[in-house]
Amino acid sequence: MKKILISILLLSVITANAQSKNEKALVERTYLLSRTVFGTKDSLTLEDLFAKPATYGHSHGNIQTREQAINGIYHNQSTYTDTTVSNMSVIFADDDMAIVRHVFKAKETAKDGKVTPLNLGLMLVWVKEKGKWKLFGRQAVPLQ
Amino acid sequence: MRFTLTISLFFTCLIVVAQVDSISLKQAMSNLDKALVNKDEKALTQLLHDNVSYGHSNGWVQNKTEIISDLKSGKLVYDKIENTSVTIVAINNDWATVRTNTNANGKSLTIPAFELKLHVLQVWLKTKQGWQLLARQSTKL
Repeated sequence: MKKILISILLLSVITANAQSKNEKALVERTYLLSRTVFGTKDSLTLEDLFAKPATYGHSHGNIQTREQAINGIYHNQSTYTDTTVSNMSVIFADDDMAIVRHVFKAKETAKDGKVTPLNLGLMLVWVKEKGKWKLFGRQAVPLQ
Repeated sequence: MRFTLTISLFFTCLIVVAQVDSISLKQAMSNLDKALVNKDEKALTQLLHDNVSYGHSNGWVQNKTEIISDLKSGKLVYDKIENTSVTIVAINNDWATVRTNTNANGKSLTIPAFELKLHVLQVWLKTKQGWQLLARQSTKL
């Protein structure tokens, strides 16, 4: 009886640990995505973050394919300061698919020097491929 | 020869199954839109995943309980939900992602009548209860 109880306990600890590891990796990928899109704009990192069939939706409703999105981010001449990622929540569909929501705020400085505040709600769809979380879908919405 | 035949049969079956899946998914999508308009709690309970996260174009996010109770209280009700385009981005045995352009009319406590043109990203899961909406985010076009 005691043995069974210990086994169950051990198993649930292992499962919980695996889940939190999975979530930790997912949250790290989400921060990396944010830093890359609004910071480094590094195309190799973007290639690694985006799944092949990824679709990328902007806050004004424009939808891009993987290639268009990576190209657009890489060539984006705006710079972003005072960036914050907040209100992050994770919903796991299963071990290999999850939805992440968060708020992104920044000051955007365009090429011509014009500064506009950015306040976005983001819904991200992540799918695990060969042990790595890949961005499968993204939809932004402007927040008031 | 037999090998080729078996292989091509196998792929034909895969394609047929995928088509059946996308038909059942589109049916679930249309059932959900109807259930939201008709405030059909029974259908909503079946079509919305327990962990559903339903994001609106003003940034507001509802959970399952809120969607149903807000329909009942009149906090957010719909007169019409109509898709002008539906693209199934991906579909497999476990889940599907869909992008739609959608016209939604209705009213909320603060807005007596809204008419919205939206772009929507939806994530559906295939469960024992059939297709269920797990996540949705809209933005104004």
